[in-house]
Amino acid sequence: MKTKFIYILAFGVLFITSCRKDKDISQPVALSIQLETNPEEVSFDLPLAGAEITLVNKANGAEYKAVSNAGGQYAFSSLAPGTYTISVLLTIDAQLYTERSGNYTDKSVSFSYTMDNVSLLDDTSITAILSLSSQVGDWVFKQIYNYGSNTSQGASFRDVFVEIYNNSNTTLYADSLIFAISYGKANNNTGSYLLDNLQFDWSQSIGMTGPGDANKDYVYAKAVYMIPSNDTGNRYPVAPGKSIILAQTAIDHTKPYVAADGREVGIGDAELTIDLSKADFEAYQYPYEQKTQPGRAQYRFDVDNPDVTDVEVIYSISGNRDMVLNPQGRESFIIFKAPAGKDPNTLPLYAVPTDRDINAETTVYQQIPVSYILDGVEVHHPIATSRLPRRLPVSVDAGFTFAPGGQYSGQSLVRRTKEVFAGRRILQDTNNSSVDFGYLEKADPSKGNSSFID
Amino acid sequence: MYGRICILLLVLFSGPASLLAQDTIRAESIMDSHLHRSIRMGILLPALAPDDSTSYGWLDLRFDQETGDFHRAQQAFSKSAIRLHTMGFNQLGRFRVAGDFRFEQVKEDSLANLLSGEGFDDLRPYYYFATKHSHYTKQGFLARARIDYELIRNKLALGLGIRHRTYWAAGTVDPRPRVELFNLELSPGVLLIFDQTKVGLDFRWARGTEDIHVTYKNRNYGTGISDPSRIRYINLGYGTMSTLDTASLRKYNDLTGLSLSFKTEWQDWLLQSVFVYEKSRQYNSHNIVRRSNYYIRSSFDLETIDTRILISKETEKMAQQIGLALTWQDGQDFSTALARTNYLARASDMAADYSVHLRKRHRLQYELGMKWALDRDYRKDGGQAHEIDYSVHTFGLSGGLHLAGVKQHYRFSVSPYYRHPGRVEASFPVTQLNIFSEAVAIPDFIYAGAKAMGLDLRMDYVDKNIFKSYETVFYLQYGHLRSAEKISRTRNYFQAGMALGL
Repeated sequence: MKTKFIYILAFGVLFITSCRKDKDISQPVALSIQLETNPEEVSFDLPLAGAEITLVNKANGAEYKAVSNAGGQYAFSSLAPGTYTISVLLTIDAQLYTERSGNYTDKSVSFSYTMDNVSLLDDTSITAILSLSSQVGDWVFKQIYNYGSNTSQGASFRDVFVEIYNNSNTTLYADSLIFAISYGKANNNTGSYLLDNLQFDWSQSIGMTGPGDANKDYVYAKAVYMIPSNDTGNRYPVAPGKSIILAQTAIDHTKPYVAADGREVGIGDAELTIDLSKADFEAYQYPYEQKTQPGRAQYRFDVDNPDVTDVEVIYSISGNRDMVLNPQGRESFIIFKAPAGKDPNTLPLYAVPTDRDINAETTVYQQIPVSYILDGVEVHHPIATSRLPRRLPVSVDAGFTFAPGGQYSGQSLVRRTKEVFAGRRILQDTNNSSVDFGYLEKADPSKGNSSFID
Repeated sequence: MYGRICILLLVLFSGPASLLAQDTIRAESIMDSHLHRSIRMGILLPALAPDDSTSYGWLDLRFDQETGDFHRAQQAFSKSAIRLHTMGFNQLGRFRVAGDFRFEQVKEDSLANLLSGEGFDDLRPYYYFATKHSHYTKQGFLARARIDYELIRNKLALGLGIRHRTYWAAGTVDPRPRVELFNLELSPGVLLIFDQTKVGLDFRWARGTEDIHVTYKNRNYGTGISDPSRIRYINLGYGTMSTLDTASLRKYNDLTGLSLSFKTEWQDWLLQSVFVYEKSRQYNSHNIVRRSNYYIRSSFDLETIDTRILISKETEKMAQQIGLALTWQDGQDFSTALARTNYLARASDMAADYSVHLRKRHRLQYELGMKWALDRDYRKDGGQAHEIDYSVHTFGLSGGLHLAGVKQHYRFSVSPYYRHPGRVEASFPVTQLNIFSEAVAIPDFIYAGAKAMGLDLRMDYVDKNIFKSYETVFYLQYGHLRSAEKISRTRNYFQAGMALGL
């Protein structure tokens, strides 16, 4: 009896302590990436080694970096299953590029690839076609302050601005320079009329015509603002290394002021916001609203400072009642100039492709050719889970940027200084905002040394 | 609101127990730990109740405190609690009425990596965590009651049990969680009596919900990543996690099970055993609006087997008792996003103890005991390739001295124990390390592998003068646990309380 009891006990112990490990559960996945170039852009032998490959897990922001081998390959052997953003940046030295291509350049040339919402649930192989993403203009965004300040003690969304910088060695004229807020899908839902990265497939928008690829060759804007000009186009010269500031509302936000409806807008903590009364330009949208929606009451925060020049509103969707920049990274930004003879007011308008019943009330977005664009910055949410499909083609911005504090943090995105030459700061412009931009803890419209990241 | 509910339940449960406890068995033996252990095992499982027990009542109010740096990653540095526990039963003709009520208010200081109401050793995933150390207040009660009716005298009884648990927790530092848990269980059962042998079979059915909301007083913490310690994560397994995902979660818990209880007495021997099997499923959702057709992000199935055996033998000279306990849990999740299982969790705990109480009828009495426990914990997160397999042995001895008088009774005990790690295996690939690995998995790996020595000292004082009908116990306990590491860590435990044997 005693022996039997011991056997039963021993069996029980073994049963309980043994851990079955043979269940079929998910496993880490492997991802192999093969880099290739676009034959339409690269007709010569381009070395594919040394490309920086970045994966970001959209669920938790985990980032994996690797460098491609001589064959333009890299294999990640152990990744958590999930949804990823894949970015590739290949930088070719100017001398090497000149030798291989036969086209002289004194600046390094970047090729890039990016894809959002790549679902990796099993071992996967991806061919990444690299696109040329070289610097295209001498005007660049220096500072983008879209986040706004504290909603209760600061100025909330009202104190935003963009700073545009002359990164060349000659005086440029800001006349007719256009700032636009690009629009894209506001969620990561799957459905019809979408690209693989879950962004709208604009080619399926009703009435879409025109040359080129509707998704790669154009950007779609919800609001477009143009700096006025005179007949000669030399009204607003900007010296090399200098900048202009375009504010939503060009007033001193650190002090109370009277809104358009006559009521006072107070300020709880002046330290949290900024003085924009010295801005060069201001977006005053009420006159445009009166043209497009006569009789509509003025938006109370669309306040005009008569001492600051108003930009011309080329286009704005009806829901956008001032140059409000989305603080959550749901919009990207571009600057462009229309070519001579092209009136930006005549750029075509399209509804999103998911709108299949177009009428007078349908919201439409202005289509801007990539060939017009001088600079663009893809802005995303600091939290990977909240990031949306990218809005700008990689030829405009091969990466994306964000400030870690996010909405209403008072932080601003600032392009890094590459070098200082003869007292002039030359800002970094690799056409990849992931590497070109940093951030300031507090937006700085002073244009002084403190507004740079050296 | 909670206070009123607690007072009401206290009256409901402790009142009848004390009023009906006039025939309390062996009221003089409040310090008879063997007897109390036997009776308590059968309060809500009448098949296990000793034959000579017709009523029992106990009320215990105590203060607990523990503090020190030798703790797991999801355990507070310091914790204090006020606990009230009352239980009892009585036989009223053919009816047997029993109740057990527990209330606790816990304050935890410097707790990180767990924004949950449940304890750190819960196998279930899908909870919030942040690395910020915070202060928490937790409060809950557990009320259990059971009524049995003897349908055929000394042959057959039918019973119905009810169990209600409510738990509430809140943190005071961003990110600050608010947790509300509610659970209700019904357990109809049947009891068969064969002379001195009883067999009980109970079926269990439970449902519950747990709502967790995380808020930020400083809203910037919830919308940015400037301060990594304030970022809230959802642990979806053992390493798989999402960052600043939804701010609200709801869990739906379903449980079915049965318990088989068996008791027999023969001469001086008493054998009590219970076998419990439970199968539970937890549905995890971030959909807090709908209570039907809600979106299921993941589910977690858990099977539990719990077996306890207590063998007691009592003679005039000595009382002996052997206790065996065995708990086995096996769980796995199903992730909707991955469309497969990603997380496995198993735990098996075993414990055996032997104690002897010598010279029970004398003024000077002795108690000697020994115990052994094995706790094993296995977790695997497939996608994140995290795997742990820990086991810890605890060996302990105990010695007690009783000074029994007519109106007073003193008991002093000392219990040294040794904690020895058994299997300590873990796998965290470098490519898969994340904040959970660094904040929880690796510190717990270090904790699991630490040897430690502990000592518990306890003093009980029984006074029969304070209340004429009841014995009053005052007790103090102090425990010290020290790890045998290069830089040793310690944990101190203190307990003070008062109990009434009703």
